[in-house]
Amino acid sequence: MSTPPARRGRRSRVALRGRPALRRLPALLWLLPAAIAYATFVLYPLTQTVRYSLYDWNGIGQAVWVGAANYVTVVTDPTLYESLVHTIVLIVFFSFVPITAGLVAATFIRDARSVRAAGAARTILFLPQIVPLAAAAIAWTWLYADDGLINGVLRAVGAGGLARPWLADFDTALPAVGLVGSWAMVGFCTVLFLAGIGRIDASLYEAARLDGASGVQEFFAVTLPGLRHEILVCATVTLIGAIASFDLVYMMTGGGPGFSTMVPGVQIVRLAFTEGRVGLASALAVVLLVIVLLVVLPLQRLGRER
Amino acid sequence: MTSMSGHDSLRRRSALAAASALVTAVALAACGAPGGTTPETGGVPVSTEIGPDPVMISVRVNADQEAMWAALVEGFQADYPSVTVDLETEAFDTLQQNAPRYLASTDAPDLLRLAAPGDTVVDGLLLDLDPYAEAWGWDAFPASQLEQWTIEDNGRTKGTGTLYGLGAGFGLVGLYVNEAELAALGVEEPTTLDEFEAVLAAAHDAGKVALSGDVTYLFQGLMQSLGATETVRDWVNNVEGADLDVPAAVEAAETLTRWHEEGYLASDAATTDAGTAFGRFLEGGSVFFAHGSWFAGGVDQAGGGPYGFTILPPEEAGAPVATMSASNSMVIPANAEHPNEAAAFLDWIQRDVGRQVIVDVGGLAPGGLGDLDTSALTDRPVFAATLATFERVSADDGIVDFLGNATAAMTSATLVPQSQLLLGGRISPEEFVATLQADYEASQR
Repeated sequence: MSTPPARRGRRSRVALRGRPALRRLPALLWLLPAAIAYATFVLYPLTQTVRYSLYDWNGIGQAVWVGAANYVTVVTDPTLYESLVHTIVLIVFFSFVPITAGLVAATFIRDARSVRAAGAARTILFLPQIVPLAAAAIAWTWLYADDGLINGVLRAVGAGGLARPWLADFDTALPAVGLVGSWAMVGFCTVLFLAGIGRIDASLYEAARLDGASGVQEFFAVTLPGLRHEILVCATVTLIGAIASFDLVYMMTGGGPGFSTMVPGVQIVRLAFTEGRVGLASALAVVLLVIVLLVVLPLQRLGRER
Repeated sequence: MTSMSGHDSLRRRSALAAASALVTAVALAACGAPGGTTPETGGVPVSTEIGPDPVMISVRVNADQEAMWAALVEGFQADYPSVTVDLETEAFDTLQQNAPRYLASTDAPDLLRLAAPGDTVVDGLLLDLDPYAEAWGWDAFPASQLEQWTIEDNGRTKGTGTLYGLGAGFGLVGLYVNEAELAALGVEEPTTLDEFEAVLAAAHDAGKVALSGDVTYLFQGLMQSLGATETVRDWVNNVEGADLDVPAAVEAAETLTRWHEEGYLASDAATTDAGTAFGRFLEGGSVFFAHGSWFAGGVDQAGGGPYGFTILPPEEAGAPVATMSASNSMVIPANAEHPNEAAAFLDWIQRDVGRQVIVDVGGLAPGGLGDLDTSALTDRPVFAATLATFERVSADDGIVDFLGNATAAMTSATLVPQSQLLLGGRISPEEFVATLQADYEASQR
């Protein structure tokens, strides 16, 4: 008695298997709007950037074919490759610090006895995420100024010798900008880690505790392995944030003092729109894209394993 | 297994996509050079007659001067009822960044604020204003008003050639003085550079920040005080073989470094933006403030003081004085739809009511000819002082364009970072001047 529906089901499956193109058609149609937008606003500009990078061009006049000369400039001009070095410093502040601090914060919030305190901590840490980074940058420049709050506090507690114009000092400008990145990213990581910890089987924590594990041992044996995927997501997002950073540096220092905080993102805009060197700017953009891919693709592979 | 094969096919597919993207990119790269579309010019016969048919012209200027432009537009429309002006504003820096693209656009404005020519003359983006200068009589204006926008056929050298722009008022750089602070120090206004440095030292000894402002202006001001005005002029005008690497330039850089090391300047002088430095000056935070005359209106409105305005004194008392000054320069794009009406507006700004608006609302020295009625300026003493200084410097032929206007990237890519390196002690005065010259030559190629 139950044969007809089963047979019908088999028949329809056979019919679909016979015409794979037709089976895929609805899926492709659903993809089409996104694909068109992606091709128009991402892929096409990308090909144009590669194209421009092979020319000496001011964006308006006649372009002159220069082949790979712009790429040679990117790796030989000290201010250009130094901006790539600054990116590595920013990675420490944008990725390493927030992930470490986020793990610590998430562990403490999980262990917190008071639900209200945990909620408050989560909100405070996440707050920087909802402030536009450009606005936050301006507020931070006031804090860092010679007559700003940070120096005011230092002088008030008798540590006036440490006071300095943080963003005007060659030695402190880059770390000062980087710390704002840490401040902005730590909330994102913490919230992600808290969600991840919630998914970890509570019996694992119980078992660890029954085995007499200390809090630190518990962290390394249970929490850290359980958060593997969340850590990879955080690493990917924050690394891209660090390598492609623009708004913080542009608003806070503009690359100065000297070139001590210059990063490729700011340099590209400068070259293309202030100096009218669209070819060189495009070459630097392509190099930046390649670096992002080189860093992010292995991370993605790591996430896919197991 | 299924998930593995799924990953494999995904990887294969993304590899395929990457490869095809690369092929497309290379193919596109090979299909000819981008750009190179020179705008059509000379479509409209030059005329000073504005007909009765309604015409709308679009004018794009910097937002900080919106009040002045609104007043100019109102006056112009009253005299030319058939012309309506569509005034668009945006932030100065953004406008200068976008300017080449506005000029090249088929929908270009009819009049645009452009601070420096950059590549625009080379790229044929600007309308030749010589016929209008002849028709409207601008060629009778003092040469100093036209020099900065008279450009040779090479598109770079200024001073001779074709006229491409005209100023809507002039600003100059000088020293705002807090007279009350100066009196408290018990010193006279200095007449030589040495005396000036002594005043800075006295202010420093009294626990004051002596001098604030734009350090790149101070460098140029020092060079000109040290008698290198003609060197600076040739350099800014892109005269063939111009060389800034002269002893006076090194001495100017040395002097600035010394002032910084002695603590005469604020510790963050090289990185502080103009607005912040100005705010500190008005709060009594510094005795002198070196910046443009466009701050004079703000000084006159501020409480405290009294304030004065002068320029860096020369090395020897009574020697010719010099400073930097540029016009609020306006250009007509080669693509402009209504160049005749745009030129009529530009001319109107140089005449009676227009000049008065430039003075009263803009707080700038006006262009054009004729004496100015300054009787209404008694309650604006600092602004009146900027006008007097402008006349005094003009009389000594000491008006020179800004170093930053020498090339398109000179301010942002060279002067600002290099002056920070200089005051940060990272480079020597010799290296500072040599880098300025090297970057200048690199962009001339």
